[in-house]
Amino acid sequence: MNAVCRHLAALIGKDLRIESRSKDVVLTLILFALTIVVIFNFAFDADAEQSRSAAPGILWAAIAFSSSIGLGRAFSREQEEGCIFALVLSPIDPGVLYSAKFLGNLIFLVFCEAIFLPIFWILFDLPGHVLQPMFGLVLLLGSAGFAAVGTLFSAIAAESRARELMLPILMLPVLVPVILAALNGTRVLFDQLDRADLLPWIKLLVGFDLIFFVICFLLYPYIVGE
Amino acid sequence: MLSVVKLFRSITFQLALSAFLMALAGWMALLYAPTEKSMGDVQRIFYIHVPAAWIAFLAFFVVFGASFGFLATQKPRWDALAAASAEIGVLFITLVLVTGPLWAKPVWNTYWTWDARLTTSLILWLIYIGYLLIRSYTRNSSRSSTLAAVYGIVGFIDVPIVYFSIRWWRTLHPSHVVGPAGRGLAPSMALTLTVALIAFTALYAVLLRIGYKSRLLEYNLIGIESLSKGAIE
Repeated sequence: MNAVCRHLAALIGKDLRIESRSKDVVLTLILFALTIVVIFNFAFDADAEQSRSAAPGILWAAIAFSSSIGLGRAFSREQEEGCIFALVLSPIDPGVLYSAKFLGNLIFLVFCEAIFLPIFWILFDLPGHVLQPMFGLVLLLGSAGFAAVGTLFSAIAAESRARELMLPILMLPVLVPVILAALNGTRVLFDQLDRADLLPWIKLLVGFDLIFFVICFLLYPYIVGE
Repeated sequence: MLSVVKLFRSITFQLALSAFLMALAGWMALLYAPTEKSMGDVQRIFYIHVPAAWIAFLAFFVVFGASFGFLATQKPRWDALAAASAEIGVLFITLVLVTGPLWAKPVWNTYWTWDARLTTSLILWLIYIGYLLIRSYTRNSSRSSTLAAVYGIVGFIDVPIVYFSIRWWRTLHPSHVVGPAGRGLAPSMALTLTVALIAFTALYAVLLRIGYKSRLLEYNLIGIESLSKGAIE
């Protein structure tokens, strides 16, 4: 157990250190999300009320697209200089490797969302009640689903000819349930609907996250194993 | 070349049988089955639409099973089976997505509605197009089969989750219910559907066999080529 924790800490620490020096994933991810918001805004520009009711959808569209780009980049960095081979050769269990990549990706996504959300909040002139702990939970659970599937699929996409281009195509259709649940949970919070409506979405998100994490955890060794 | 000839000779009977069944199903769907009272002749699309959907699900289930087989044994024949079945599945799910709107427009007065079944079919199509993309974009890699197998497993497990989540969402936000719900079929219609289902299954079997065998031949050829290259070097 102790060794597992040490391996996890070392792997996550490595990813965070690389990112803190280059900042390319975080930066592109946030800028890309902002661009998506700007474009969507044109569609609802005429009516502030309408644009506010579309906010949950726009938010999750931005998160979905930008995270699929960001996670692809995060993995292809492992391939440069053959880092992934070193990782596979090292005496680290592939399951631990998956968990570390998963946690690292989750940290990236949550970090980007923490910067992106205040900007989004201002741009859409959202009411103050939006920024609350429950919303953080929905974001965290949604991002966990993205990270679970994205970590496995980015390894698949990285070996194809189209590379990062493949990841959104592979990842987003599979993640439709997560997007759906996160979006609707967000809508309950944004529109201040009955709190009892939120619970089913939270439960669904937890369920989806668990299913996807377990499947991807079990299959990851096949992808990076050789 | 010889083995290709042999392949086609060995499936002559199967090919003839499925051709006969398809012709019979076509005749029954167009002439034998009575015209539906409220929908009229357009309802006959039913006899293509439903069997095509059945074949698509069957084909993707075979992909799922064969992917497991491949990961467990690493035998190329499981990979050949999965690849052949996925191609046929995509063909038939495409047929479902084309015939569905053609039927829906006159009956529901819209080509498309975002209900659970329709949305799931579209996502299913997207997932398995992704599967074929992995195969074609990693063609020269020895790991192509493993990558595809992993995606084939995740994709198939995802399908019921997608369906369930959309259904759930729709029940929370009720919208008008669409589709033939709990409507009894006339006996002659049921018979036509049964024949069509059998015919499509026979067609699937023959297509699968051709795809599977030709892939095995391709693998053999690649094996021979690399052997002869080794001999020259």
